[in-house]
Amino acid sequence: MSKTKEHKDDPQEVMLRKPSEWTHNIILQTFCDFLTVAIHTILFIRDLYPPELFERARKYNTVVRRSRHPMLNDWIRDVVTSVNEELKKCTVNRVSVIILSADETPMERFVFDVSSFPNIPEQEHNIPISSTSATFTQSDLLEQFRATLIRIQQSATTLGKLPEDCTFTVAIELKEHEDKPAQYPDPWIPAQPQQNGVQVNGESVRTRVTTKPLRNIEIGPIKIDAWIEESRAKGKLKEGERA
Amino acid sequence: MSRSHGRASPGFKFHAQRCRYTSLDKGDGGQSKEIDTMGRGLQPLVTVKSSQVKKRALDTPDERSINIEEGDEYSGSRFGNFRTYMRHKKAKLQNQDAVLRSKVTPDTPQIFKGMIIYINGYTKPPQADLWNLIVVHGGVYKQFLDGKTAVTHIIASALTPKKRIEFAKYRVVKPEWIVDCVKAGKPLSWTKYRVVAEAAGQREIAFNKDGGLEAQITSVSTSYKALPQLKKSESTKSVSSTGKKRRVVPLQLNDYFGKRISTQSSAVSDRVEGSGVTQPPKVTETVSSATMSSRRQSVNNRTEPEPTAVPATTAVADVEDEVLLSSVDQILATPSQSQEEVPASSNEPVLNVFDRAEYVPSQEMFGDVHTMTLKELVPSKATEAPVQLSEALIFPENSFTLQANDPQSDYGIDDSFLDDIGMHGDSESHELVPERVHYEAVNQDLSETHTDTIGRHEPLVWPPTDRPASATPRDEPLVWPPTDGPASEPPREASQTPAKEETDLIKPTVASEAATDAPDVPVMGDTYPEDEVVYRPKTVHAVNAGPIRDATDPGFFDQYYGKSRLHHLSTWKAELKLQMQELAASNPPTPALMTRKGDRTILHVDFDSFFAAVSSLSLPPEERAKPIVVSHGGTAMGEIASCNYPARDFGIRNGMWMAKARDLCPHVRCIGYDFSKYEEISRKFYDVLLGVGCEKLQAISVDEALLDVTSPVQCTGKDEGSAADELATVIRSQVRQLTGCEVSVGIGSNVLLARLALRKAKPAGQYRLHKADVLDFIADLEVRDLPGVGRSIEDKLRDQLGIITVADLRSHAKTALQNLLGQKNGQKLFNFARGIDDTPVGEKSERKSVSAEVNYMIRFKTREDVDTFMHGLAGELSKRLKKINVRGKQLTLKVMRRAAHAPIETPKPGGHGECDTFNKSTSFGVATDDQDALSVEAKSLLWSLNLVIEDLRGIALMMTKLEESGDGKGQKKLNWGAPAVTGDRQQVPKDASESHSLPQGEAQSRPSTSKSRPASSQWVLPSQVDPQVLSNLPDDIRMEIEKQADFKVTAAADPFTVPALSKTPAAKTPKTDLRRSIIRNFIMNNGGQSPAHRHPSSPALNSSPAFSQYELPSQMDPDVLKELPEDLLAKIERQKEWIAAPKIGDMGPPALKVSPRTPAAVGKSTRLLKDGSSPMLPSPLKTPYIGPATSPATNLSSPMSQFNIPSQLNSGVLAELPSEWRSRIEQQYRTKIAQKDRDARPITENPSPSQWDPEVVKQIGTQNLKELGVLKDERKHVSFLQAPKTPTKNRTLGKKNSMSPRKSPRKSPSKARQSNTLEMTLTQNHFLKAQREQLKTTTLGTQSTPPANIDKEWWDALGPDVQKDILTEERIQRDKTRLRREAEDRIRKRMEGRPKVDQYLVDLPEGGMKVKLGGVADVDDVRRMLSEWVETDWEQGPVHEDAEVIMAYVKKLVVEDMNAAKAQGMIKWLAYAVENAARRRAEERRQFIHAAEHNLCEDPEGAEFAWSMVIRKILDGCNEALAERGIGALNLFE
Repeated sequence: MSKTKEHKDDPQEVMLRKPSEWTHNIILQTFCDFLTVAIHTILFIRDLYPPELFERARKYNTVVRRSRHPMLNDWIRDVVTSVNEELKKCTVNRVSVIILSADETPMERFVFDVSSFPNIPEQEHNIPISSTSATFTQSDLLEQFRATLIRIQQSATTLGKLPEDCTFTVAIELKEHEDKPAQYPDPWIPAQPQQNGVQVNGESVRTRVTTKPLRNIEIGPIKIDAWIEESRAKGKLKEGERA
Repeated sequence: MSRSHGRASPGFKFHAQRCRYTSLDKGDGGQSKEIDTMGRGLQPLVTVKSSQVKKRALDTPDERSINIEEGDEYSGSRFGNFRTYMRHKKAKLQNQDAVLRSKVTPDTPQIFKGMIIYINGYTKPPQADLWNLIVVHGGVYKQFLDGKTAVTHIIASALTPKKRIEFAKYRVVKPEWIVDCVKAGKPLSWTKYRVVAEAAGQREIAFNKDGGLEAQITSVSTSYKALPQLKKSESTKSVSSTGKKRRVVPLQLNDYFGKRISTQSSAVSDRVEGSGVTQPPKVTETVSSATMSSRRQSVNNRTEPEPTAVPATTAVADVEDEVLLSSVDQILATPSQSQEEVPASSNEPVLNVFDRAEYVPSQEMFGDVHTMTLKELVPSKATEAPVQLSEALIFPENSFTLQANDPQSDYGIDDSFLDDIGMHGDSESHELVPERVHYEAVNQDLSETHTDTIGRHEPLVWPPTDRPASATPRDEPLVWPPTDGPASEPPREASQTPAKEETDLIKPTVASEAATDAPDVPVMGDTYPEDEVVYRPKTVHAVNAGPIRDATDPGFFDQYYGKSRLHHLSTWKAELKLQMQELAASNPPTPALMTRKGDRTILHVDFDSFFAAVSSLSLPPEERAKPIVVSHGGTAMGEIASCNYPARDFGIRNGMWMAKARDLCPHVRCIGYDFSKYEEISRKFYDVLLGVGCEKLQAISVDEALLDVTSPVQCTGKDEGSAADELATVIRSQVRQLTGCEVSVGIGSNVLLARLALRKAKPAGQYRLHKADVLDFIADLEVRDLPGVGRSIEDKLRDQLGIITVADLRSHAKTALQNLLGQKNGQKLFNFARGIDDTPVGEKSERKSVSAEVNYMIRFKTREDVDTFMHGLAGELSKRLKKINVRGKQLTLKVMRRAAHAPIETPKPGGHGECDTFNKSTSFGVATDDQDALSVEAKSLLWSLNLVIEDLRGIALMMTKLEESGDGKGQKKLNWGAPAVTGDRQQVPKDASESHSLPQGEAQSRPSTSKSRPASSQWVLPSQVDPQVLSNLPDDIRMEIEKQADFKVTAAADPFTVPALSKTPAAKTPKTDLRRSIIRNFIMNNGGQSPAHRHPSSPALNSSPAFSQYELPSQMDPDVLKELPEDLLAKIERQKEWIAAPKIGDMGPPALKVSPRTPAAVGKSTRLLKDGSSPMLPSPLKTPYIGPATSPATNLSSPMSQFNIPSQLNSGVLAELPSEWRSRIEQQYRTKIAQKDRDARPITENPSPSQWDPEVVKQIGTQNLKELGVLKDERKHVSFLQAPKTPTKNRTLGKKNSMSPRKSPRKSPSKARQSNTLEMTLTQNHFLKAQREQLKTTTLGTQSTPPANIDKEWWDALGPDVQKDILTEERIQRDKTRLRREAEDRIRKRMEGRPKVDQYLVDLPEGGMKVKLGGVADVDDVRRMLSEWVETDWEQGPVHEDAEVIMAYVKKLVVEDMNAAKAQGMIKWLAYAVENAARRRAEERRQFIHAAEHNLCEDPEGAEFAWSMVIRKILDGCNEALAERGIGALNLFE
């Protein structure tokens, strides 16, 4: 009986009550909120920081962990904000949370494919989107988010152990046909090819990573594919450690 | 389940009550009542919604067979289907209970049968034990509290405060109850175990035994029973329920008024009867009369009485109903009534039937009746007295007809309407003469009844005021609530009162009403003899019947501000103050030569209880010594405005309510206001003060002034102190002499000290604060005695600094005070404490804000109400701003909302009660005083607050950041008219052309009501028939014309046409005519706006012929002309020229104006057209041929009619035309003259411009039409995008393009301005929108499509110019609405911060088309399909094609659906299916081998291998697809 009640109390979700009023900006904001939660969750489940740094919180009607470190939180907020900025340009293909080893080798990548987000010109960002298949409700979306978060949390059990002193970063991958900005906007620096990890020349990809699909979110105009890529290098490391 | 239970709906209450009631009825013994209530009594009662729930729950234990894990509830629930999950869960839990119950031995008493119990929180014994107990003993245990009524009891040891509220209406029982019940073996009364005590004495509605509704006090528990029982019997009320409205008729009231209750209005009586309320004795009241009926005949003899009477009846019924309701509102709220409990839910007007409202016709009805009167008069009187009747009778006919013939329409006729009637009161006077006969006759009766009415009413709620007999109508409207008029007690006679008689009865009131509104009309003043005052109350009553309704009334503002006592007081005071200030300023102050700085002598002169003293002047002196208060009406509801000193001795204070005052002093005498007297006395008072010759005079109030007499006192050469004393004495004695009232004078060396001294001087004395005594004197005062110290400051000082007296204040440092109260206030108080005050006398406080506030009668129901109201309020504010000649930049909205806990009915009816206040402001870029601008902003401010409309109690608008609205400052109104260079030459004809068409059109389309009117008037008769033309016509035609014209004169009563047609050299008419035109000229020149435009909301003005085309003096008496001064003559000459300019609309068939449009709109549109577009117009033909001097006039009137022949046709130009055109033009010319020459000009000078032979139109006009369409686009283009000239134009202009440069420079300023404005309204979104619209119009514009509301056939028959005209108007109207909508949008957007565009959505490519396998996309379906595939094809192995299909599907899932997870899931499922199949085969095989040793299977591993290979393949395919997307491979089988 508490379910609906909590939804009601969340101002963010109140704002989203009516999918018919969703604008592009709202969609992006919704996604970015989810991304924030996901980053916190990933950091927690991958043991990048001491567990005591995290506090329990409730979001999307499930228990999530939230970092308590102000600097970390600020960083995450900043990065999500700038992701949002990029998303607004509708040139983003994927947003990934990359876990790097101490020597900056990517170990795992939590990828959120947002390439199918609607491409809407800037000036229409505040105009409601006609959702042709608007048979979904607010709670549907929240359930999808919740399911994805739970999948992320579960993935901890199947993912291999990470080496010591891992760190993480957030990367965005722009769409193929989009010209890269002449100069990268402030918060973004070009990713190292290895860090980026995704070349389209299939062979290397296939050999270097294993993919664990997380979940596909598809609600109205929002369509996100999420998966984890685990570097085989990590496997080697793992084996090396074992050995 | 998440809804708060605190707001339990009536439905729930109702349900609960019903349970209770039935239980009482069925109860079989006092003791078991409560149990019945809970248990058995409940079962048959379960109603609609909850019934199913309960039934389900209750049936469960008995009927549900225990089918462990077989029901639906044991199936899985799908993702996202939480509801199903919960339902299953609950069902499963109930199944558990059923199991439990099945094990119960039959001898266990089923105590809790029929109860559904929920346990909340910690209990002792624990929840599980209780659960067990409940279930075993026949109850239903609920784990979840979902739905309000599903549960009969809640078990809890204690509740959190929130739950206490939530569960307030549940039976919340302590756990011991369960235990005890079980122990006792029978259900015990739960009330003894209650956890939440229900609010005592809460009233609820229940059915009584007869099935009627009954209000009763909830008897919640035994302990409370004694009290409510008592109350119940007292306050039982009948409740009538008609439809949704529940109205309570308080019986006590009926007792009071019982005898005189009558139900005249059938509407009312029906309602009352229907509701089964004791029918009060029905008294039909009729108005006497022989006189009356004869009178009626004299009024009605020319027309049928019926049509007038019918609407009137309806009006009466309606109005009565409303008045009844509203007056009851008042009664109910009077103290005597408030003891009775008005059901909290009754926010609807409470109906009472009592006599006084009986004959209270409200203003609306007056309007209506008046309408009738006027209408009757129109045809008959117009001819008799054309001059007197002039304006009054002609103009509103149309609107009148509408009003009178449509009883369904709103009868709200606003004040402006009445004002108009009043304005033309002289026509009334004509009618009034015989009317008075009847009037007095009625009066006789009325005055007789009046006295005893008063006598009988005295002890009741409404004692009538003792109004001085000499009171003039103007003094009275402020008496409120309405006094009991004798009209309520007309002589009673048998038989029903026909409505006609009422009509007659009311008529004089109408007249008097008009008189009230038009005090300047001399006749009216004279017609009222003194004794008619007896009749006055009715008028007063009627006038006041308006405001008692609510603020949604159209006339509310005028009424409110016209009648509001406070408003009157404040405005009156303010005005007077202003006058006095001006007076003081105009009297040059005595030179302040000798003034020593800082040492002044200030006198503070103040009346002793001004209002009381003045009002009681007429009383004998001994009476005056008795306690007297001034209050309106003298009712218990009145607030005391002023009380004299004897009254103060009783503890009566200003602002106290009359009721309280009467408690304190039963014999207090209450007198009403006498404003004229106040004004008079005040004036005298100021005369005295000004006569003193003070240095400076500051009018504080009407009865209070500060005088700086420093220099006069010093001039005397005497001791300043004693001189001041003497002066004060002189003032006092003079005032006493002049006014008979006492004033007190305080003398001090500064304003503060003078004020304080005055305190000591009162009453009727004077006091000078000696310098030496100042400190001691002040020290003894309390802080609150200091000026400027209000309650909040006082509290602050006391609570935080412990300051009570001024001495305390003095002991504190300045900084401490400043910290507490702020820099300025702290400093001020610090100084005050030391007797220092450097405020100069006569400091003119600059106006910082202007506001309009209404917090009375604010009861809105709909958004429209509010919008209308806000517009009105904005209008009021605008009026006030204009009055003091300022404009403001910042608009602040103050909203009073009913405080959450405040009752819906306020103690004072219509008052605002206890309220929360919200403020919100917005800024204008430029200072404004425009009503529309204010209104728009105010509305958006209000809506942005998101308040509940019903809760609004007061709304105020305040304008701050004021600036002078002089020239060059503030926002210049865009001049829609011609640029100033062309002067008035252009403007006048424009106006003429724009407004002339409408009245005529209406006149034509009006159904003929008069017999005199020829039935077949097919063609429009020119109103100004040229006599020459007329004489040339055949006789019969001429006669027809004359007849028509004659009729027209009577129908339209156009005074100006009269002389021309009947050839009566009425010297007066042209004069009027002339005067009017001059006035209008003046208006045009100065305002640049047509009057119609300035009063867009006034219906009367809209159709006013004052501004019609007839008014221009085209047929002027030469004699009159001769006598005119030269400049006027010149003007008239010019006007004459212009009026000759072609008028398009005139020639159109009557139906031309089918689209409802106000002249204002038309006027504006025409202006817009002219100004905005004509420079752009391609006038290939016209432009070159028209002489430059005349072009603007011609041009503007028909920019599109290229083929119109200019009025001053240059023969040279004509000669240059191609011969074919020329001949056509000439032909046209002739045709026109012969047929339809309307312009009374010499033929030679009057070429017909707009009348075109259809053939010509056909031949030449098609091209025009096309151009017209194109043009339309172009204009659109300009208005939206401010685009430069489009090629279209150049093309059309062709070689004549050279003409345009000459024209454009003149036009350009206004054009630029216009496009600027338009541009200013644009934003991004509109840009887009505009583009769309533009596209639309481009396609539309190429052929002139008729507007939607015009018949196509008819449209086609129109000439191109007329079509164009209509189209233009259409377009402009559309543009206007669009712009308005856009402006509103913009505002809303700004307010919400979250932009929103109506009906405009971003379209996405059709998404969500899921990749399907064999036509199915659903996960389960696909899985099933895969499983089947594996099962069926297991033995033979996977067919390659099938595998390909599956692989393609998976690939598509990855690439197109971007659903790697699903792809993986499918592959996994396939693997699972294969594994499953393999396992089962293996199992079967094992069994077979075991049983029969048959080797039936050939190579099972082979099949499995083949299948797993297929899976591998599919996985590879999937990985390929993933790689295609740049995603790493899946790793499923490592």
